Amino acid sequence: MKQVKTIFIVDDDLMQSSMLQDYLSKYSTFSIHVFSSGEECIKNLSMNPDIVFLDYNFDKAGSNAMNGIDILKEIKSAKPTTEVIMISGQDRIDVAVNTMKYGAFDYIVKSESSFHRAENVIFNIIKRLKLQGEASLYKKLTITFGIALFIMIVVVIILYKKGVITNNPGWM
Amino acid sequence: MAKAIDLTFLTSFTGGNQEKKKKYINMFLSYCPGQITIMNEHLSAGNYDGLRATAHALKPQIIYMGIQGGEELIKKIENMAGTRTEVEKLPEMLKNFTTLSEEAIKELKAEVE
Repeated sequence: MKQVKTIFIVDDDLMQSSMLQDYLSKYSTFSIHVFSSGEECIKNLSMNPDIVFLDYNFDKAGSNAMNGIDILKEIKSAKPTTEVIMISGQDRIDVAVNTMKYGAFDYIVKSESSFHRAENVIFNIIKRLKLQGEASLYKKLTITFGIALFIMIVVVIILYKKGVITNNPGWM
Repeated sequence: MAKAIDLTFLTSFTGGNQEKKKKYINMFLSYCPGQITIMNEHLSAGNYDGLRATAHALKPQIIYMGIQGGEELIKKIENMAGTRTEVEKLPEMLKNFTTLSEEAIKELKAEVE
């Protein structure tokens, strides 16, 4: 089952990324990497992040910097199973919906509660991965049981045709 | 006189760890004054997009530092500059925001000294 191990925080607001990193560092099982631009994040996608917290605006990084949506598209194209959580100072619903359209898992507004929300989102992802793992296991079990049942029916038919078993059990 | 800052959130966030608290306050102190200067420059140049973007970027830090009334002011500046509505009110609002931030900066400096 896939587990959450590597987390990227991509934000040009150093205080925001530092605070989020500090907040999540209480979970020693996570390996957290901070990047101040989308370009840096994309260069490091070979580290296979399980979760990326991605800023929506990169105004501070300069006008030539990739914006959040472009970075989101690149991440989802290169690593479809990586979950991207957009973080923004904008509490506009249309912005949030737009990011979901391009595959973001969730959208968090920068506020005092954003760190707690980020933590909740990680646990939602972990829960979802666990459910997916269980669903996959049940699927495998169902297929195995189906195959076993099929083989049993075939064996019974062969034995029946050979007369090893009949319609009249011995006790009747 | 009422304080310009309320560090309840920051204290709770850092779990009372003074070093962490100082780290974040110092980050704010090294970042905020420059951004206020840039906001004033954008306004003087009539660059409302620049003003909106700078206000937007500064907003979370104003919230985390608990600058009283700062969040409301910077949100208004961001919205008015972004939508170009009531731009004639922006100089007064930015002046108020600058004064408020300067007072908050003084108090934050005292916190880390």
